[in-house]
Amino acid sequence: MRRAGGVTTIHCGAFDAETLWRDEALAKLPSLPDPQAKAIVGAMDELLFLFCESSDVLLTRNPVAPAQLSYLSGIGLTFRTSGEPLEDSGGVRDANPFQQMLNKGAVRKYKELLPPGGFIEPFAVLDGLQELSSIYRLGGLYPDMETIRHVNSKLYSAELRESLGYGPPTRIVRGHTELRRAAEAMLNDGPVLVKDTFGVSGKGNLLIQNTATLERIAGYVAAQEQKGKSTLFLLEPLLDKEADFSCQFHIDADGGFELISVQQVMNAEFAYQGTFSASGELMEKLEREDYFKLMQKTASMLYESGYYGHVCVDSMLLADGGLVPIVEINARKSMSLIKKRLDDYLAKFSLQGNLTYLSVICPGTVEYAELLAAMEREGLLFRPDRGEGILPLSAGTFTINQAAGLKRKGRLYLSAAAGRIERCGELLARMRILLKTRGIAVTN
Amino acid sequence: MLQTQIITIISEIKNEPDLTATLTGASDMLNDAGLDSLQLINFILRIEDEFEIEIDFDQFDMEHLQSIDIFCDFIQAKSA
Repeated sequence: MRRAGGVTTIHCGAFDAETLWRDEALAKLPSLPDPQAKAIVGAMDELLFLFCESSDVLLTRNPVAPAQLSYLSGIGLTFRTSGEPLEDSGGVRDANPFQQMLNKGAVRKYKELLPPGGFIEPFAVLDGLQELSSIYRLGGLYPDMETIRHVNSKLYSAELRESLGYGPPTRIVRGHTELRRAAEAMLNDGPVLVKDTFGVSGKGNLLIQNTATLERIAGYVAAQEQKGKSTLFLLEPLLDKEADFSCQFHIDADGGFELISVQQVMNAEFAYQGTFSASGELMEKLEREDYFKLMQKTASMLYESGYYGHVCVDSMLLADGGLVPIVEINARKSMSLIKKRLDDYLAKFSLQGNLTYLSVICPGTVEYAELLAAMEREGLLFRPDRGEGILPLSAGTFTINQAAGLKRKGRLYLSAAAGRIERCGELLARMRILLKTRGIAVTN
Repeated sequence: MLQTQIITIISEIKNEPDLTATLTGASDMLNDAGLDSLQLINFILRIEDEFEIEIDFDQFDMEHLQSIDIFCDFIQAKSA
């Protein structure tokens, strides 16, 4: 996965890849615009620093806050980055970062950060990546965009799951009448999940619990069909879930398979605590149920479909002890892979940690440097010699929407790191108190 | 009272009973109630269902969510 020494690796990407892959000719599920949430997702590219070695380059849409760079450098996480935003003032709206760089490509603005022979390690392969690599004479090799879109569609996940004989049963609907009829029949047995083929957590999935909601959604889709849109949604029964987990692996360009990690979402007293490495108990269960053989088989099928690169398969444990091994295939890097990189970093100090986030509402402008300083004063800021603490992972997601005198949304990605994983909850509780004392509300 | 109904629905969507005590007519529906994108769409669908109105998702003005009082005015105008 990593190139030989001396070759510059450039980490760059967008975390809303599904939105960028989506076919605009398809009808959408109802949604409301949330520009603040969109801006936060756009700033998540800072999290890619965890993939960087010291000679690597991190290119982000907006410059990383100097206070964050200084903090990361102080704990041994160094990399090169640009002090300027990628976006030109006259740039194309909603351009992905590779397209943004192409827009500036004529002046070879990034020639120092994109040296010939180097290669881009994207979070996800997007339009413009191949062209950018070509212009800058970079050495990256990527599956074509048609393959990328094909294997990342939920339709592909459903068909692959079905061909392997695993649930949940999925009904594919191609029109509003079929949506109405199929969902109505399924409602007799319980709530129905409607999925967009490129939906992501919190967007593009809707739960239908009654016929009134179904009618409303079918009507919304029908209106789009009248304007020429095509319909393609997946219907699944809502399963009684106990826990989410995911498996990360890599498919080499020659088809080789490398299992990387299994990460598990943990809740305590119904509250999200973050992503943790899978417990020994879960790993034993997965081994017993041939989960890893299935992941290898999944990798083979992806390779046969023309894909190679990083993969994250979302899986689910059910309340009755059952296992849903393939909920969704994400043919890209993932938050769970970022978590694995955190594990590798913390292991150098014999520490463990989680990956979590706090959704916050800032009461106006809150300087990121001041937040770090407050954490330091409280002895809460992670430093290796402290042996534990909160490691803040992104400044931009916290500050991107801030405006003087206005309440605005932000998100703090964090790792609670300690010698014992049980300490993570206590550290996060202290972090919540610190934010509250500074007038910052936590909404999750 | 409409305001109480709206606050109760938000609290149920968020699965946070405490919100019935903390939210007021002046509360910002995104930034005080903290509704995320999925919760927001479920909230709108629930409002449509309970008040027998139809909200145009594509033309919806997010300014209506600036406060619970403003949203109540919007509902009343749609119901009239």
